Amino acid sequence: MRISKFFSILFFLLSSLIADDQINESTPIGVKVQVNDQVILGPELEAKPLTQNSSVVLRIKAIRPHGDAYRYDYEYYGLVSGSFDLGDYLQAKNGKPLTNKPKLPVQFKSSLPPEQIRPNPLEDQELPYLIKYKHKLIIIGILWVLGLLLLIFIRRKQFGVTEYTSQESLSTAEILRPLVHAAKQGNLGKSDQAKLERTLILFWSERLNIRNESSKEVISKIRSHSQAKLLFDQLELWFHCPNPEEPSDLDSLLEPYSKPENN
Amino acid sequence: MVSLNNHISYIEAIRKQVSNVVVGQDEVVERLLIALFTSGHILLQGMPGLAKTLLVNALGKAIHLDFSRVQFTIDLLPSDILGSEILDQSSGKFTTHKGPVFTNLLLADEINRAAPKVQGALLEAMQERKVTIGDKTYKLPIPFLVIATQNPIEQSGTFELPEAQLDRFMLCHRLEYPTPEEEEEILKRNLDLGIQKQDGGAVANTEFDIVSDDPVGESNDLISVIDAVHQIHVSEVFIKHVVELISRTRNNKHIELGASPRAGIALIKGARARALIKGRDYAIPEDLFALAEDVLLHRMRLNYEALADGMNTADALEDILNTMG
Repeated sequence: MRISKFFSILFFLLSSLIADDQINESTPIGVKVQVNDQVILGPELEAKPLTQNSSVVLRIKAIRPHGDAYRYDYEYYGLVSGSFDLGDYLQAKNGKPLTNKPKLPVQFKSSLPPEQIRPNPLEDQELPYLIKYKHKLIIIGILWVLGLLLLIFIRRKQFGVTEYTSQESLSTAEILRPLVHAAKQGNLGKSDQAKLERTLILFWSERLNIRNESSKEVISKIRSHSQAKLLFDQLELWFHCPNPEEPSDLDSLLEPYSKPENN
Repeated sequence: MVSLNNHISYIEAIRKQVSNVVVGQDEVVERLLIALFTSGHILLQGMPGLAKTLLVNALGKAIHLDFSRVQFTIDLLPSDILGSEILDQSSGKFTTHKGPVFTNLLLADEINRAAPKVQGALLEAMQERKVTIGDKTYKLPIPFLVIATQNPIEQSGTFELPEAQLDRFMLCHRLEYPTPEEEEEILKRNLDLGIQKQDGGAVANTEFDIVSDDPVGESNDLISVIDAVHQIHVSEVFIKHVVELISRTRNNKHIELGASPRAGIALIKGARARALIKGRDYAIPEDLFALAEDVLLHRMRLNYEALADGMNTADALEDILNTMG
Protein backbone atom coordinates (compact mmCIF):
# COMPACT_ATOMS: atom_id res chain seq x y z
CA MET A 1 0.00 0.00 0.00
CA ARG A 2 2.86 2.29 0.87
CA ILE A 3 4.60 1.38 -2.35
CA SER A 4 1.53 2.17 -4.41
CA LYS A 5 1.17 5.59 -2.72
CA PHE A 6 4.84 6.30 -3.39
CA PHE A 7 4.44 5.53 -7.11
CA SER A 8 1.31 7.66 -7.27
CA ILE A 9 3.13 10.65 -5.87
CA LEU A 10 6.11 10.02 -8.17
CA PHE A 11 3.86 9.80 -11.22
CA PHE A 12 2.05 12.99 -10.17
CA LEU A 13 5.36 14.86 -9.77
CA LEU A 14 6.67 13.62 -13.15
CA SER A 15 3.47 14.46 -15.00
CA SER A 16 3.45 17.91 -13.35
CA LEU A 17 7.02 18.45 -14.54
CA ILE A 18 6.05 17.39 -18.08
CA ALA A 19 3.04 19.70 -17.90
CA ASP A 20 5.24 22.55 -16.69
CA ASP A 21 7.52 21.96 -19.70
CA GLN A 22 4.56 22.18 -21.99
CA ILE A 23 3.27 25.29 -20.24
CA ASN A 24 6.60 27.04 -20.36
CA GLU A 25 6.54 26.80 -24.11
CA SER A 26 4.39 29.48 -25.77
CA THR A 27 1.86 27.96 -28.10
CA PRO A 28 0.71 29.90 -31.17
CA ILE A 29 -2.89 31.06 -31.08
CA GLY A 30 -5.30 28.57 -32.59
CA VAL A 31 -2.91 25.65 -32.47
CA LYS A 32 -4.31 22.69 -30.53
CA VAL A 33 -2.30 21.16 -27.69
CA GLN A 34 -3.09 17.60 -26.68
CA VAL A 35 -2.36 16.44 -23.11
CA ASN A 36 -2.84 12.81 -22.11
CA ASP A 37 -2.88 11.01 -18.77
CA GLN A 38 -2.53 14.07 -16.54
CA VAL A 39 -3.50 13.29 -12.94
CA ILE A 40 -5.34 16.13 -11.23
CA LEU A 41 -6.06 15.75 -7.57
CA GLY A 42 -9.44 16.48 -6.16
CA PRO A 43 -12.95 15.67 -7.33
CA GLU A 44 -13.86 14.79 -10.91
CA LEU A 45 -13.64 17.87 -13.10
CA GLU A 46 -15.29 19.08 -16.29
CA ALA A 47 -14.68 21.97 -18.70
CA LYS A 48 -16.67 25.12 -18.08
CA PRO A 49 -19.07 26.05 -20.90
CA LEU A 50 -17.57 28.52 -23.39
CA THR A 51 -18.64 32.16 -23.19
CA GLN A 52 -18.09 35.20 -25.38
CA ASN A 53 -15.21 36.21 -23.10
CA SER A 54 -13.42 32.84 -23.08
CA SER A 55 -9.77 33.27 -24.03
CA VAL A 56 -9.03 29.56 -24.06
CA VAL A 57 -10.97 26.64 -25.45
CA LEU A 58 -10.61 23.57 -23.26
CA ARG A 59 -12.09 20.17 -24.04
CA ILE A 60 -11.80 17.11 -21.77
CA LYS A 61 -11.72 14.02 -23.94
CA ALA A 62 -11.40 11.22 -21.39
CA ILE A 63 -11.47 10.81 -17.59
CA ARG A 64 -10.19 7.73 -15.75
CA PRO A 65 -10.01 7.12 -11.97
CA HIS A 66 -6.52 7.22 -10.57
CA GLY A 67 -6.49 6.24 -6.87
CA ASP A 68 -8.25 9.04 -5.02
CA ALA A 69 -7.69 11.38 -7.97
CA TYR A 70 -8.57 11.33 -11.66
CA ARG A 71 -6.47 11.04 -14.80
CA TYR A 72 -7.46 13.29 -17.71
CA ASP A 73 -6.92 13.41 -21.47
CA TYR A 74 -7.65 16.93 -22.70
CA GLU A 75 -6.87 19.42 -25.40
CA TYR A 76 -6.84 23.17 -25.50
CA TYR A 77 -6.00 26.10 -27.72
CA GLY A 78 -5.81 29.81 -27.17
CA LEU A 79 -7.95 32.47 -28.73
CA VAL A 80 -5.89 35.46 -27.58
CA SER A 81 -2.21 35.86 -26.68
CA GLY A 82 -1.11 35.92 -23.06
CA SER A 83 -0.75 33.69 -19.99
CA PHE A 84 -3.72 31.82 -18.60
CA ASP A 85 -4.52 29.12 -16.06
CA LEU A 86 -6.51 26.18 -17.37
CA GLY A 87 -7.77 25.72 -13.79
CA ASP A 88 -9.95 28.79 -14.38
CA TYR A 89 -11.71 26.86 -17.12
CA LEU A 90 -12.51 23.81 -14.99
CA GLN A 91 -15.31 23.13 -12.52
CA ALA A 92 -16.34 20.23 -10.32
CA LYS A 93 -18.62 17.78 -12.03
CA ASN A 94 -20.72 17.44 -8.89
CA GLY A 95 -21.53 21.19 -9.04
CA LYS A 96 -19.80 22.04 -5.76
CA PRO A 97 -17.28 24.93 -5.71
CA LEU A 98 -13.65 23.85 -5.93
CA THR A 99 -11.68 24.30 -2.73
CA ASN A 100 -8.27 23.47 -4.23
CA LYS A 101 -8.38 24.74 -7.78
CA PRO A 102 -5.62 22.99 -9.86
CA LYS A 103 -2.91 25.19 -11.31
CA LEU A 104 -2.34 24.52 -14.99
CA PRO A 105 -0.62 27.60 -16.46
CA VAL A 106 -0.52 27.99 -20.25
CA GLN A 107 0.89 30.67 -22.54
CA PHE A 108 -0.21 31.65 -26.04
CA LYS A 109 1.65 33.85 -28.43
CA SER A 110 0.45 35.70 -31.50
CA SER A 111 2.20 35.47 -34.86
CA LEU A 112 1.28 39.07 -35.54
CA PRO A 113 3.30 41.99 -34.18
CA PRO A 114 2.00 43.53 -30.92
CA GLU A 115 -1.16 45.64 -31.26
CA GLN A 116 -1.92 44.21 -34.69
CA ILE A 117 -5.13 42.29 -34.45
CA ARG A 118 -5.78 41.55 -38.13
CA PRO A 119 -3.64 39.58 -40.56
CA ASN A 120 -1.62 41.51 -43.10
CA PRO A 121 -3.59 42.35 -46.27
CA LEU A 122 -2.65 40.21 -49.30
CA GLU A 123 -0.19 41.85 -51.60
CA ASP A 124 -0.59 41.76 -55.39
CA GLN A 125 2.26 39.70 -56.60
CA GLU A 126 3.32 38.90 -60.14
CA LEU A 127 2.54 35.31 -61.12
CA PRO A 128 5.67 33.29 -61.70
CA TYR A 129 4.60 32.80 -65.35
CA LEU A 130 5.36 34.77 -68.46
CA ILE A 131 1.68 35.47 -69.09
CA LYS A 132 -1.10 36.25 -66.68
CA TYR A 133 -4.00 33.91 -66.06
CA LYS A 134 -6.46 36.25 -67.78
CA HIS A 135 -4.29 36.36 -70.88
CA LYS A 136 -3.96 32.60 -70.77
CA LEU A 137 -7.75 32.27 -70.85
CA ILE A 138 -8.00 34.67 -73.81
CA ILE A 139 -5.36 32.73 -75.77
CA ILE A 140 -7.07 29.39 -75.01
CA GLY A 141 -10.39 30.89 -76.13
CA ILE A 142 -8.91 32.09 -79.43
CA LEU A 143 -7.28 28.70 -80.05
CA TRP A 144 -10.58 26.95 -79.33
CA VAL A 145 -12.45 29.13 -81.85
CA LEU A 146 -9.68 28.61 -84.45
CA GLY A 147 -9.85 24.86 -83.87
CA LEU A 148 -13.60 24.87 -84.32
CA LEU A 149 -13.34 26.84 -87.57
CA LEU A 150 -10.63 24.50 -88.85
CA LEU A 151 -12.77 21.48 -88.03
CA ILE A 152 -15.75 22.97 -89.86
CA PHE A 153 -13.78 23.96 -92.95
CA ILE A 154 -11.66 20.81 -93.14
CA ARG A 155 -14.85 18.74 -92.88
CA ARG A 156 -16.44 20.77 -95.66
CA LYS A 157 -13.33 20.39 -97.79
CA GLN A 158 -13.44 16.63 -97.24
CA PHE A 159 -16.91 16.61 -98.72
CA GLY A 160 -15.41 18.37 -101.72
CA VAL A 161 -17.58 21.44 -101.66
CA THR A 162 -14.98 23.35 -103.57
CA GLU A 163 -13.90 20.61 -105.94
CA TYR A 164 -16.00 21.72 -108.86
CA THR A 165 -16.22 25.41 -107.93
CA SER A 166 -13.48 26.53 -110.27
CA GLN A 167 -15.12 24.79 -113.22
CA GLU A 168 -18.62 25.80 -112.32
CA SER A 169 -17.62 29.43 -112.02
CA LEU A 170 -16.91 29.32 -115.77
CA SER A 171 -19.78 29.64 -118.20
CA THR A 172 -20.65 26.68 -120.39
CA ALA A 173 -19.29 28.54 -123.41
CA GLU A 174 -15.99 29.14 -121.65
CA ILE A 175 -15.63 25.44 -120.78
CA LEU A 176 -16.67 24.42 -124.30
CA ARG A 177 -14.30 26.68 -126.26
CA PRO A 178 -10.95 25.00 -125.40
CA LEU A 179 -12.51 21.52 -125.74
CA VAL A 180 -13.82 22.27 -129.23
CA HIS A 181 -10.48 23.80 -130.16
CA ALA A 182 -8.66 20.65 -128.93
CA ALA A 183 -11.10 18.44 -130.83
CA LYS A 184 -10.44 20.33 -134.06
CA GLN A 185 -6.72 19.99 -133.48
CA GLY A 186 -7.16 16.26 -132.87
CA ASN A 187 -5.78 16.55 -129.34
CA LEU A 188 -8.86 15.36 -127.49
CA GLY A 189 -8.15 12.60 -124.93
CA LYS A 190 -10.82 10.24 -123.62
CA SER A 191 -11.43 12.39 -120.53
CA ASP A 192 -11.80 15.48 -122.69
CA GLN A 193 -14.12 13.62 -125.05
CA ALA A 194 -16.34 12.77 -122.09
CA LYS A 195 -16.17 16.34 -120.88
CA LEU A 196 -16.97 17.69 -124.33
CA GLU A 197 -20.03 15.47 -124.61
CA ARG A 198 -21.32 16.42 -121.17
CA THR A 199 -20.68 20.11 -121.75
CA LEU A 200 -22.54 19.97 -125.06
CA ILE A 201 -25.52 18.42 -123.26
CA LEU A 202 -25.31 21.25 -120.76
CA PHE A 203 -24.97 23.79 -123.55
CA TRP A 204 -28.07 22.53 -125.33
CA SER A 205 -30.09 22.37 -122.12
CA GLU A 206 -29.28 26.04 -121.63
CA ARG A 207 -29.98 26.94 -125.23
CA LEU A 208 -33.37 25.19 -125.15
CA ASN A 209 -34.01 26.70 -121.73
CA ILE A 210 -34.83 23.29 -120.21
CA ARG A 211 -32.13 23.17 -117.56
CA ASN A 212 -34.67 23.10 -114.73
CA GLU A 213 -36.44 20.07 -116.14
CA SER A 214 -35.60 16.50 -115.14
CA SER A 215 -32.47 15.07 -116.72
CA LYS A 216 -34.53 12.44 -118.56
CA GLU A 217 -36.69 15.17 -120.08
CA VAL A 218 -33.62 17.21 -120.95
CA ILE A 219 -32.01 14.35 -122.88
CA SER A 220 -35.27 13.47 -124.56
CA LYS A 221 -35.85 17.06 -125.73
CA ILE A 222 -32.27 17.49 -126.90
CA ARG A 223 -32.53 14.27 -128.90
CA SER A 224 -35.71 15.46 -130.55
CA HIS A 225 -34.17 18.78 -131.63
CA SER A 226 -33.00 18.42 -135.24
CA GLN A 227 -29.72 20.33 -134.93
CA ALA A 228 -28.81 18.78 -131.57
CA LYS A 229 -29.76 15.29 -132.77
CA LEU A 230 -27.38 15.59 -135.69
CA LEU A 231 -24.55 16.57 -133.36
CA PHE A 232 -25.15 13.89 -130.73
CA ASP A 233 -25.65 11.12 -133.31
CA GLN A 234 -22.23 11.98 -134.71
CA LEU A 235 -20.68 12.14 -131.23
CA GLU A 236 -22.16 8.73 -130.35
CA LEU A 237 -20.61 7.16 -133.43
CA TRP A 238 -17.32 8.79 -132.55
CA PHE A 239 -17.22 8.21 -128.76
CA HIS A 240 -19.38 5.17 -128.02
CA CYS A 241 -19.57 2.87 -131.04
CA PRO A 242 -17.61 -0.40 -130.97
CA ASN A 243 -15.88 0.81 -134.15
CA PRO A 244 -15.56 4.55 -133.52
CA GLU A 245 -15.52 6.87 -136.49
CA GLU A 246 -14.37 10.43 -136.21
CA PRO A 247 -16.86 12.62 -138.11
CA SER A 248 -15.48 13.52 -141.52
CA ASP A 249 -16.79 17.06 -141.23
CA LEU A 250 -15.72 17.54 -137.62
CA ASP A 251 -14.73 21.18 -138.12
CA SER A 252 -18.10 22.19 -139.51
CA LEU A 253 -19.90 20.03 -136.93
CA LEU A 254 -18.21 21.75 -134.01
CA GLU A 255 -17.91 25.20 -135.60
CA PRO A 256 -21.09 26.57 -133.92
CA TYR A 257 -19.60 25.64 -130.55
CA SER A 258 -16.13 27.09 -131.07
CA LYS A 259 -17.33 30.62 -130.39
CA PRO A 260 -20.64 30.16 -128.62
CA GLU A 261 -22.32 33.08 -126.94
CA ASN A 262 -21.99 33.21 -123.20
CA ASN A 263 -25.23 32.13 -121.62
CA MET B 1 -25.24 -16.31 -133.82
CA VAL B 2 -28.53 -14.67 -132.95
CA SER B 3 -28.79 -11.18 -134.40
CA LEU B 4 -29.63 -8.04 -132.49
CA ASN B 5 -32.97 -7.87 -134.31
CA ASN B 6 -33.98 -11.27 -132.95
CA HIS B 7 -33.32 -10.10 -129.40
CA ILE B 8 -35.29 -6.93 -129.99
CA SER B 9 -38.21 -8.93 -131.40
CA TYR B 10 -38.14 -11.23 -128.36
CA ILE B 11 -38.11 -8.29 -125.94
CA GLU B 12 -40.89 -6.55 -127.85
CA ALA B 13 -42.97 -9.73 -127.73
CA ILE B 14 -42.55 -9.89 -123.94
CA ARG B 15 -43.54 -6.26 -123.58
CA LYS B 16 -46.56 -6.77 -125.84
CA GLN B 17 -47.77 -9.78 -123.85
CA VAL B 18 -47.37 -7.89 -120.58
CA SER B 19 -49.17 -4.88 -122.02
CA ASN B 20 -52.15 -7.11 -122.85
CA VAL B 21 -52.95 -7.22 -119.13
CA VAL B 22 -51.06 -4.25 -117.68
CA VAL B 23 -51.84 -0.82 -119.06
CA GLY B 24 -48.94 1.65 -119.24
CA GLN B 25 -46.10 1.04 -116.79
CA ASP B 26 -43.71 0.76 -119.77
CA GLU B 27 -40.87 2.13 -117.72
CA VAL B 28 -41.42 -0.42 -114.93
CA VAL B 29 -41.49 -3.26 -117.45
CA GLU B 30 -38.25 -1.93 -118.91
CA ARG B 31 -36.66 -1.80 -115.45
CA LEU B 32 -37.82 -5.34 -114.66
CA LEU B 33 -36.31 -6.59 -117.89
CA ILE B 34 -33.08 -4.73 -117.15
CA ALA B 35 -32.91 -6.38 -113.72
CA LEU B 36 -33.71 -9.78 -115.22
CA PHE B 37 -31.15 -9.50 -118.03
CA THR B 38 -28.39 -8.31 -115.68
CA SER B 39 -29.11 -10.67 -112.75
CA GLY B 40 -29.90 -7.76 -110.50
CA HIS B 41 -32.76 -7.25 -108.08
CA ILE B 42 -35.29 -4.48 -108.05
CA LEU B 43 -37.13 -2.58 -105.34
CA LEU B 44 -40.41 -0.99 -106.37
CA GLN B 45 -41.64 1.92 -104.30
CA GLY B 46 -45.23 2.83 -104.80
CA MET B 47 -48.75 2.92 -103.52
CA PRO B 48 -50.86 -0.23 -103.34
CA GLY B 49 -53.02 -1.01 -106.38
CA LEU B 50 -50.51 -0.15 -109.09
CA ALA B 51 -50.58 -3.67 -110.58
CA LYS B 52 -47.20 -4.70 -109.23
CA THR B 53 -48.23 -8.32 -108.60
CA LEU B 54 -50.08 -8.56 -111.89
CA LEU B 55 -47.07 -7.16 -113.70
CA VAL B 56 -44.65 -9.65 -112.20
CA ASN B 57 -47.11 -12.49 -112.79
CA ALA B 58 -47.53 -11.53 -116.42
CA LEU B 59 -43.80 -11.12 -116.91
CA GLY B 60 -43.08 -14.50 -115.34
CA LYS B 61 -45.59 -16.26 -117.58
CA ALA B 62 -44.40 -14.42 -120.69
CA ILE B 63 -40.82 -15.61 -120.13
CA HIS B 64 -41.90 -19.01 -118.80
CA LEU B 65 -40.42 -18.45 -115.35
CA ASP B 66 -41.63 -19.69 -111.98
CA PHE B 67 -43.23 -17.00 -109.89
CA SER B 68 -43.83 -16.78 -106.10
CA ARG B 69 -45.28 -14.04 -104.00
CA VAL B 70 -44.61 -13.52 -100.29
CA GLN B 71 -46.51 -10.95 -98.29
CA PHE B 72 -44.05 -9.70 -95.68
CA THR B 73 -45.50 -9.23 -92.22
CA ILE B 74 -44.11 -8.57 -88.78
CA ASP B 75 -44.49 -12.21 -87.68
CA LEU B 76 -42.82 -13.71 -90.75
CA LEU B 77 -39.85 -15.96 -89.98
CA PRO B 78 -36.76 -16.59 -92.12
CA SER B 79 -37.83 -20.23 -92.48
CA ASP B 80 -41.13 -19.06 -94.00
CA ILE B 81 -39.14 -17.75 -96.94
CA LEU B 82 -36.09 -19.97 -97.11
CA GLY B 83 -37.66 -23.27 -96.07
CA SER B 84 -37.09 -25.68 -93.21
CA GLU B 85 -36.47 -29.29 -92.25
CA ILE B 86 -39.61 -31.17 -91.29
CA LEU B 87 -39.71 -34.49 -89.42
CA ASP B 88 -41.46 -37.17 -91.44
CA GLN B 89 -43.15 -39.23 -88.73
CA SER B 90 -43.64 -42.26 -90.93
CA SER B 91 -39.94 -42.61 -91.79
CA GLY B 92 -38.55 -40.84 -88.73
CA LYS B 93 -36.27 -38.77 -90.97
CA PHE B 94 -36.05 -35.08 -91.62
CA THR B 95 -37.11 -33.94 -95.06
CA THR B 96 -36.32 -30.53 -96.49
CA HIS B 97 -39.23 -28.29 -97.31
CA LYS B 98 -38.00 -25.60 -99.69
CA GLY B 99 -39.50 -22.17 -99.18
CA PRO B 100 -40.93 -19.77 -101.76
CA VAL B 101 -37.48 -18.31 -102.38
CA PHE B 102 -36.82 -21.31 -104.66
CA THR B 103 -38.30 -19.70 -107.72
CA ASN B 104 -37.24 -17.55 -110.65
CA LEU B 105 -39.27 -14.45 -109.88
CA LEU B 106 -39.95 -13.71 -106.24
CA LEU B 107 -42.27 -10.86 -105.40
CA ALA B 108 -41.46 -9.76 -101.83
CA ASP B 109 -44.46 -7.60 -101.11
CA GLU B 110 -43.97 -4.83 -98.55
CA ILE B 111 -40.48 -5.98 -97.61
CA ASN B 112 -40.17 -3.28 -94.95
CA ARG B 113 -42.97 -4.81 -92.87
CA ALA B 114 -40.86 -7.86 -91.91
CA ALA B 115 -38.38 -7.93 -89.04
CA PRO B 116 -34.74 -7.19 -89.92
CA LYS B 117 -33.68 -10.84 -89.54
CA VAL B 118 -36.16 -11.85 -92.24
CA GLN B 119 -35.03 -9.01 -94.48
CA GLY B 120 -31.45 -10.07 -93.80
CA ALA B 121 -32.16 -13.69 -94.71
CA LEU B 122 -33.72 -12.71 -98.02
CA LEU B 123 -31.04 -10.18 -98.86
CA GLU B 124 -28.34 -12.77 -98.14
CA ALA B 125 -30.06 -15.23 -100.46
CA MET B 126 -30.28 -12.48 -103.08
CA GLN B 127 -26.55 -11.84 -102.90
CA GLU B 128 -25.25 -15.39 -102.58
CA ARG B 129 -27.95 -17.04 -104.71
CA LYS B 130 -27.90 -20.02 -102.40
CA VAL B 131 -29.72 -20.99 -99.23
CA THR B 132 -28.67 -23.15 -96.32
CA ILE B 133 -31.40 -25.27 -94.71
CA GLY B 134 -30.21 -27.38 -91.81
CA ASP B 135 -26.71 -28.47 -92.79
CA LYS B 136 -27.33 -28.52 -96.54
CA THR B 137 -26.77 -25.67 -98.96
CA TYR B 138 -29.07 -25.39 -101.97
CA LYS B 139 -28.49 -23.26 -105.03
CA LEU B 140 -31.35 -21.03 -106.06
CA PRO B 141 -32.83 -21.47 -109.54
CA ILE B 142 -31.34 -19.49 -112.41
CA PRO B 143 -32.41 -16.84 -113.25
CA PHE B 144 -33.32 -15.55 -109.81
CA LEU B 145 -34.85 -12.13 -109.56
CA VAL B 146 -36.31 -10.56 -106.43
CA ILE B 147 -38.85 -7.85 -106.97
CA ALA B 148 -39.44 -6.24 -103.59
CA THR B 149 -42.02 -3.57 -102.96
CA GLN B 150 -42.46 -1.02 -100.24
CA ASN B 151 -45.00 1.66 -99.56
CA PRO B 152 -43.23 5.03 -99.32
CA ILE B 153 -45.95 6.73 -97.27
CA GLU B 154 -47.15 4.40 -94.53
CA GLN B 155 -44.13 4.05 -92.28
CA SER B 156 -45.67 3.08 -88.94
CA GLY B 157 -44.86 -0.50 -87.93
CA THR B 158 -42.22 -0.87 -90.62
CA PHE B 159 -38.49 -1.60 -90.47
CA GLU B 160 -36.67 0.67 -92.87
CA LEU B 161 -34.05 -1.12 -94.94
CA PRO B 162 -30.59 0.16 -94.02
CA GLU B 163 -28.35 1.66 -96.71
CA ALA B 164 -26.10 -1.43 -96.80
CA GLN B 165 -29.07 -3.64 -97.64
CA LEU B 166 -30.63 -1.15 -100.05
CA ASP B 167 -27.31 -1.17 -101.90
CA ARG B 168 -27.95 -4.82 -102.81
CA PHE B 169 -30.90 -3.80 -104.95
CA MET B 170 -29.56 -2.92 -108.34
CA LEU B 171 -32.53 -0.69 -109.07
CA CYS B 172 -35.09 1.10 -106.95
CA HIS B 173 -37.92 2.32 -109.12
CA ARG B 174 -40.56 4.72 -107.94
CA LEU B 175 -43.91 3.77 -109.39
CA GLU B 176 -46.18 6.54 -110.49
CA TYR B 177 -49.91 6.65 -110.97
CA PRO B 178 -51.08 6.04 -114.54
CA THR B 179 -51.87 8.98 -116.76
CA PRO B 180 -55.59 9.88 -117.17
CA GLU B 181 -55.60 8.15 -120.57
CA GLU B 182 -54.08 4.99 -119.11
CA GLU B 183 -56.48 5.12 -116.18
CA GLU B 184 -59.40 5.30 -118.61
CA GLU B 185 -58.06 2.29 -120.50
CA ILE B 186 -57.67 0.33 -117.23
CA LEU B 187 -61.29 0.98 -116.33
CA LYS B 188 -62.55 0.07 -119.81
CA ARG B 189 -60.62 -3.20 -119.78
CA ASN B 190 -61.95 -4.01 -116.35
CA LEU B 191 -65.51 -3.61 -117.65
CA ASP B 192 -64.91 -6.33 -120.25
CA LEU B 193 -63.41 -8.95 -117.91
CA GLY B 194 -66.66 -10.89 -117.61
CA ILE B 195 -67.30 -13.86 -115.33
CA GLN B 196 -66.33 -17.49 -115.17
CA LYS B 197 -68.76 -20.28 -114.34
CA GLN B 198 -67.48 -23.27 -112.49
CA ASP B 199 -68.92 -26.10 -110.39
CA GLY B 200 -72.42 -24.72 -110.59
CA GLY B 201 -71.30 -21.28 -109.41
CA ALA B 202 -69.91 -18.11 -110.98
CA VAL B 203 -67.27 -15.58 -110.08
CA ALA B 204 -66.17 -12.30 -111.64
CA ASN B 205 -62.92 -12.52 -113.59
CA THR B 206 -59.88 -10.58 -112.45
CA GLU B 207 -56.94 -9.41 -114.52
CA PHE B 208 -55.03 -12.47 -113.29
CA ASP B 209 -57.51 -14.71 -115.09
CA ILE B 210 -56.67 -13.24 -118.47
CA VAL B 211 -52.90 -13.50 -118.12
CA SER B 212 -51.79 -15.76 -120.96
CA ASP B 213 -50.03 -18.95 -119.92
CA ASP B 214 -48.28 -19.17 -123.30
CA PRO B 215 -44.67 -18.09 -123.00
CA VAL B 216 -43.02 -15.88 -125.58
CA GLY B 217 -40.25 -17.61 -127.48
CA GLU B 218 -38.13 -20.46 -126.19
CA SER B 219 -36.33 -20.80 -122.87
CA ASN B 220 -33.03 -20.40 -124.71
CA ASP B 221 -34.10 -16.95 -125.90
CA LEU B 222 -33.70 -15.54 -122.42
CA ILE B 223 -30.24 -17.05 -122.12
CA SER B 224 -29.15 -15.57 -125.44
CA VAL B 225 -30.54 -12.15 -124.46
CA ILE B 226 -28.60 -12.29 -121.16
CA ASP B 227 -25.54 -13.25 -123.17
CA ALA B 228 -26.18 -10.44 -125.66
CA VAL B 229 -26.37 -7.89 -122.86
CA HIS B 230 -22.85 -8.89 -121.89
CA GLN B 231 -21.70 -8.27 -125.45
CA ILE B 232 -22.98 -4.68 -125.50
CA HIS B 233 -20.06 -2.32 -126.05
CA VAL B 234 -19.29 0.15 -123.28
CA SER B 235 -16.88 2.81 -124.44
CA GLU B 236 -14.13 4.34 -122.35
CA VAL B 237 -15.90 7.69 -122.67
CA PHE B 238 -19.06 6.17 -121.22
CA ILE B 239 -17.10 4.75 -118.27
CA LYS B 240 -15.68 8.22 -117.67
CA HIS B 241 -19.23 9.62 -117.58
CA VAL B 242 -20.15 7.00 -114.97
CA VAL B 243 -17.08 7.72 -112.87
CA GLU B 244 -17.76 11.46 -113.04
CA LEU B 245 -21.36 10.97 -111.94
CA ILE B 246 -20.45 8.64 -109.08
CA SER B 247 -17.67 10.97 -108.00
CA ARG B 248 -20.05 13.94 -107.96
CA THR B 249 -22.46 12.12 -105.66
CA ARG B 250 -19.57 11.61 -103.23
CA ASN B 251 -18.35 15.18 -103.44
CA ASN B 252 -21.58 17.09 -103.25
CA LYS B 253 -22.13 19.56 -100.45
CA HIS B 254 -25.65 18.26 -99.85
CA ILE B 255 -24.82 14.55 -99.74
CA GLU B 256 -23.43 12.73 -96.74
CA LEU B 257 -23.34 9.26 -98.28
CA GLY B 258 -22.58 9.05 -101.98
CA ALA B 259 -22.92 6.19 -104.42
CA SER B 260 -20.84 3.04 -103.88
CA PRO B 261 -18.64 1.32 -106.47
CA ARG B 262 -21.47 -1.23 -106.70
CA ALA B 263 -23.65 1.63 -107.95
CA GLY B 264 -21.17 2.30 -110.77
CA ILE B 265 -21.21 -1.38 -111.73
CA ALA B 266 -25.02 -1.34 -111.65
CA LEU B 267 -25.06 1.74 -113.91
CA ILE B 268 -22.86 0.03 -116.50
CA LYS B 269 -24.86 -3.22 -116.34
CA GLY B 270 -28.16 -1.37 -116.52
CA ALA B 271 -26.97 0.81 -119.40
CA ARG B 272 -25.95 -2.30 -121.34
CA ALA B 273 -29.36 -3.91 -120.86
CA ARG B 274 -31.17 -0.69 -121.73
CA ALA B 275 -29.05 -0.27 -124.85
CA LEU B 276 -30.12 -3.73 -126.01
CA ILE B 277 -33.76 -3.06 -125.20
CA LYS B 278 -33.49 0.15 -127.25
CA GLY B 279 -31.90 -1.76 -130.13
CA ARG B 280 -28.32 -0.58 -129.82
CA ASP B 281 -25.14 -2.57 -129.40
CA TYR B 282 -23.45 0.19 -127.42
CA ALA B 283 -24.34 2.28 -124.38
CA ILE B 284 -24.78 6.04 -124.67
CA PRO B 285 -25.20 8.88 -122.12
CA GLU B 286 -28.97 8.70 -122.59
CA ASP B 287 -28.90 5.29 -120.88
CA LEU B 288 -26.94 6.78 -118.02
CA PHE B 289 -29.34 9.68 -117.53
CA ALA B 290 -32.36 7.38 -117.82
CA LEU B 291 -31.12 4.96 -115.16
CA ALA B 292 -29.30 7.34 -112.82
CA GLU B 293 -32.32 7.95 -110.59
CA ASP B 294 -33.20 4.27 -110.18
CA VAL B 295 -29.61 3.19 -109.60
CA LEU B 296 -28.33 6.00 -107.42
CA LEU B 297 -31.16 7.53 -105.44
CA HIS B 298 -31.58 4.72 -102.90
CA ARG B 299 -27.84 4.61 -102.35
CA MET B 300 -27.47 8.26 -101.44
CA ARG B 301 -28.18 10.01 -98.15
CA LEU B 302 -28.48 13.74 -97.61
CA ASN B 303 -26.52 15.50 -94.89
CA TYR B 304 -28.09 17.32 -91.98
CA GLU B 305 -27.77 20.78 -93.55
CA ALA B 306 -29.57 19.72 -96.73
CA LEU B 307 -32.35 18.03 -94.74
CA ALA B 308 -32.70 21.16 -92.62
CA ASP B 309 -33.04 23.16 -95.86
CA GLY B 310 -35.95 20.91 -96.87
CA MET B 311 -34.11 19.25 -99.77
CA ASN B 312 -34.67 15.68 -100.83
CA THR B 313 -32.28 13.19 -102.45
CA ALA B 314 -34.01 13.45 -105.82
CA ASP B 315 -33.40 17.22 -105.90
CA ALA B 316 -29.73 16.71 -105.08
CA LEU B 317 -29.31 14.09 -107.82
CA GLU B 318 -31.16 16.20 -110.39
CA ASP B 319 -28.88 19.09 -109.49
CA ILE B 320 -25.84 16.89 -110.12
CA LEU B 321 -27.17 15.59 -113.43
CA ASN B 322 -28.21 19.01 -114.67
CA THR B 323 -24.85 20.60 -113.92
CA MET B 324 -22.61 17.73 -114.96
CA GLY B 325 -20.45 19.64 -117.40
